[in-house]
This record gives sequence, structure tokens and C-alpha cells, in this order.
Amino acid sequence: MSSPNPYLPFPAVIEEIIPETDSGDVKTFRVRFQDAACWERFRYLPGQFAELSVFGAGEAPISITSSPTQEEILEFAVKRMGRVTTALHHAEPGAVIGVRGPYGNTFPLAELRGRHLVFIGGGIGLAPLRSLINYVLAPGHRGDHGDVVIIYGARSPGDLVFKWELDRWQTREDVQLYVTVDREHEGWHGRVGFVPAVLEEVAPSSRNAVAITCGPPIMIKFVLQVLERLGFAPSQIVTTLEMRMKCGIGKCGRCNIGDKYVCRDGPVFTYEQLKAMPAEY
Amino acid sequence: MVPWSAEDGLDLEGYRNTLLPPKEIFFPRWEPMLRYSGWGRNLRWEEVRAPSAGRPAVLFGVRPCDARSLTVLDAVFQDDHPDPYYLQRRRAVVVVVLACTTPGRSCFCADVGGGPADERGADVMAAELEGEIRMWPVTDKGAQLLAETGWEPDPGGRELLEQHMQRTPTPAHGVPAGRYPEALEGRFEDPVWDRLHLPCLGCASCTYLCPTCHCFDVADETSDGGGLRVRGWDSCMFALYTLHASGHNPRPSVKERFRNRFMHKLSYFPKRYGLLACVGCGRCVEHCPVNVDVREVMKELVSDVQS
Repeated sequence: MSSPNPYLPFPAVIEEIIPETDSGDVKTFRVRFQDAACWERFRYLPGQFAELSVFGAGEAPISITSSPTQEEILEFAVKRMGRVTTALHHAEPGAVIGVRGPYGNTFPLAELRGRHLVFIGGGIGLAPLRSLINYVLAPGHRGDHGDVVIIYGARSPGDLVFKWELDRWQTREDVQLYVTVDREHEGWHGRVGFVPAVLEEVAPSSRNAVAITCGPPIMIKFVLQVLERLGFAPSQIVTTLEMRMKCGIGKCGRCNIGDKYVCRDGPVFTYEQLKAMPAEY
Repeated sequence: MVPWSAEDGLDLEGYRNTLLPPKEIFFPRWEPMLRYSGWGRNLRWEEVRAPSAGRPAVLFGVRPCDARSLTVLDAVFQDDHPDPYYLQRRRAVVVVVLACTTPGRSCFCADVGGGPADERGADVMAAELEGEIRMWPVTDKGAQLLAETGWEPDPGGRELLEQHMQRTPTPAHGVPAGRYPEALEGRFEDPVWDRLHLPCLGCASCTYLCPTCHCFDVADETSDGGGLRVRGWDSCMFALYTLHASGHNPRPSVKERFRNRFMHKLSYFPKRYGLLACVGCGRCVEHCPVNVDVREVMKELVSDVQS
């Protein structure tokens, strides 16, 4: 009788809203639980997601982009897409939202120990990767891994998210960061080219390495081809999936891919696992 | 399933099964979950329960197939994140199962591991034998009900039912049993789905009538100054069920949705929970407007494996 209602979100206050893209279609929401005791019940690891409630609009699954090594604040980078995310974009600092979770599996932290890490992100796909990147770059964890290579791209400079974070990573000597945009753009002096092409050019070694990728399906498709050419085995490639969800806890039914529920067995899968699943995602 | 009082009397003549399965007693087709009020900084919400939740009741005359479907629903709603709405109703309701002494024309429980005298999911087992209702307890909850109502437990009933069953035709249609999920291994890409789905209209009658289907949608229904977060039955046969906000749909046509429904019942669910998500009640067979027959689908899939 005493088990908590898993559908009851914790109240959290939006402390800060950071516009990420020039068009304003992505914003990062920094939120804090109203009751600090909620942290005890919300211990998360990189790769997990939460169900965010904007009452009146509904609930949507959003990946957690903050790292658990950060102070007690949660960050969600949200692209304005549907009813809930649009309502969230209309919210102002101080507003109360509901947060349920954390849900889903995590990036395979044990398997990443002692390995070189290659992060490949596109657009808003950097959001879930950022949680892991900041986790492995945290003072107590950086020594657990070899090289950290980050390749990130977006359509245009204005579509790059976490520019403030990219600047921070850029200054670190223990991070190799490559930021690219699809086409030449006035005022952009950085790299130009699609993410898979940049990956091929950077050509990180697959030896003792794991590639972690998230981005639009078309980018993933070509990134996988390049990674295979670079010698990455399917078990060395990790990605994270999205699916329409309601409950987040394996009951409402809709997020299955074959016998796997993205909400329970995912959202993180290796390419090896994906190859064994029906291509219905 | 309708409310009953003693004055109504009890006439079981010609009773085969209810049109709707008993799942809605435990998992209503529409149910409030949370209530919210206020706005912005002053938003509040709390858990709510429908007035009917947790109200003690006895379900009488549940058929063995439907009782077994409750064990399927239990697996979903009882796992790592117990569902308090379902479980509250489940605890408050005693299930009296009426054995099927005359099987219906679309019944195939025996094909899917059940039977007309199956006691799984029952709290009390009942059978109409030689013009008399015999009842015996299956669970402690059932024993308590019989004790409270002063009904003498009737262990002899079980034996009498077994004897009767030996003289009764088995509700089976030759669907190979006990071969799931193995029989569907590797069948996802099979061309058979290109043909099998063709008559399906995607109307979802099958899923609404199915005693094991449990998919739901969650929505906020706002009225003046507040609203309710509610859940309602949903169906994998609808395109909106899997439609992403981006417009992408992983199961864009009837073929993928049709395949998912059968694969889920016969392969995905058994892999996950060790239970077939079909209890052979035959409702989808009876009520499909275009005569899609789950038994034929199963035969097709399994006979192909044998050939």
C-alpha cells in the first residue's frame, strides 16, 4: 500500500530558461525540485529520461541533459515539436512543472571505463550525450577514460545548441572538440561539412574505443557507415532512441520495438542490439 | 457485467460470455488519475481516484478465459512500477469464475493453454452441474467470501466438474499450442504479413474487446480553473498510437500495426512475461467486421514453420 504512485510527478520550479538556437526552437530549462527530499527518489545516471508535465497540455518524455555530477539542478534541452513542448516553451521562470522519473536504462558506464570515447552528435541530439560528456569530464571520473573526442554539428551556426558548453569544452586540453555546420555561413569561421564527413576526416581509432552517437536518423545512418569503415564493431557503437511514450514505465504499450520497450529496456542501445531488433523505430 | 441484486434472480440459461471482458472493472475505459488546479507559480496537483475505485465487489460468472486474462493484466500492472489504480480495484474485487460446461462456437481456450475449467485467476470456482450451482474456493480471498456469505465450501464440485468435462467437447480449433513465442521467431519480415493484413480496417474492435489488451493513452482534460489527468483505453491499431510529434511514425500503415498486434500477443508478450497474451475467448473472432480470425493467423504462422 505504501509504494508511491508512479504517475504522480514531483513539483519542480523552472529557475532559468536558456534559448539555445537562433530561431528559438530549442531552449534549455534548468529546474529544481520544490521539495529537496525528492532528490533522494530521483537519482539518475547519464542516458536516462524524465516525463515532464505541463498540466493542461500533458506529459512528454525528455532526456536529462544535466550530469548527476552537477549540483542539485536538472537540465532539459527541449525542442518545440508538439503540444507539451510548445507549452513548455511558453512557460516563464518561476513556473511549476511536474517531473517523474528517472526512467530507462543508462549509458553503459561500466563498459566505458578504460576506453577512448568518441561522441558524435547532431542538432538536439547533443542533449543526451551532454549528460555523459559532463559525467566523464567530471573531476573524479576523467581518469577512468582515455581520449575524449567530440564531433558535433548542426545545419547552421544558429542551430548549434549548448554554445556556452562547447566553448567550455574547447578550452580543455583533455578534450578534442570538432564543431561543424552543414553549409558556409556568413560570420562562421569554423568547420563546414556534414557530421559523417567530419568523422571520416578526424578518423578516430576504433582500438579500445566506444562511439556514442545521437542525432537525426539520416545522420545516424551515415555515421554508422563511417564507424564501420573505421573498424568499430557494432558492440562498440552506442546510441539512444526516441519513441512516442505515455507512461514511461512499460504499461501504456506504445514504445515497443519488438519485445523491447524503449522506456524500460532503452533508450540506450548498442548497434549490436539494434541489429537484432525489428527495424520499426 | 451488470450490477445484480438478489431480487433479480439468476438465470444462466444460454449464457456463454459477456460482450465486454471484465478488464474494465479493474482498468476502466476512462479513469481520472490526477487533479490539477492553478497556473504558473501556483499550480498544484494531487492524486485522485474514481468513486468506483476500491469499492468491494464480487464478479460472478466470469469465464475461465477471462479470469486467466487477469493474470496477464496482473503481470503488466504489478511489475517494478506497481499501478495503484489497477491494484486497488484488484484487491477489492472477488472473482467468481463459472466453468464453461458448454463451450461457445468461437472459443479456443484449450488451444492457448487454458481450458473450460481452468482455475487460474479465480478466487472462487463455480460450476452449474446437474441443475445446481456448485462453488469451491481457490484463493484465501475466495474462501473468505464463501465463509462470510455462509456458503458451504463444496470440494466435491471440482471432481464432478472434471467428470463432466470428460464428456464435453474441448474448445479447440487445432491451433498448435505451446509453441509460442518460438513459433514466431524470425517471422517479423515474413511476406505472410503482406497478405494477412489486407482485410483489416484498423477499426480496433479487436483490441477494445480483448480481455488482455491494456494499452492506454493519458490526457489532460482542462475545465474552468483546473482539470483532470485521465487515462483511457488506446489501441495499437490506430495510427496516432505511435505517431511522433515530429511526424515520424514507426508503424505507419495497417500492415505494421496488424503485425505488431499479433506479434505482441504471441511473441513479444510471452518473451517478456512468460505468458501468452491471448486466452482464446474468441471475442475478436466473433466481432471483427471483416472476419480476421486470430486462430487462422496462428495456424498460418505456425504451419509455415512446419513446412
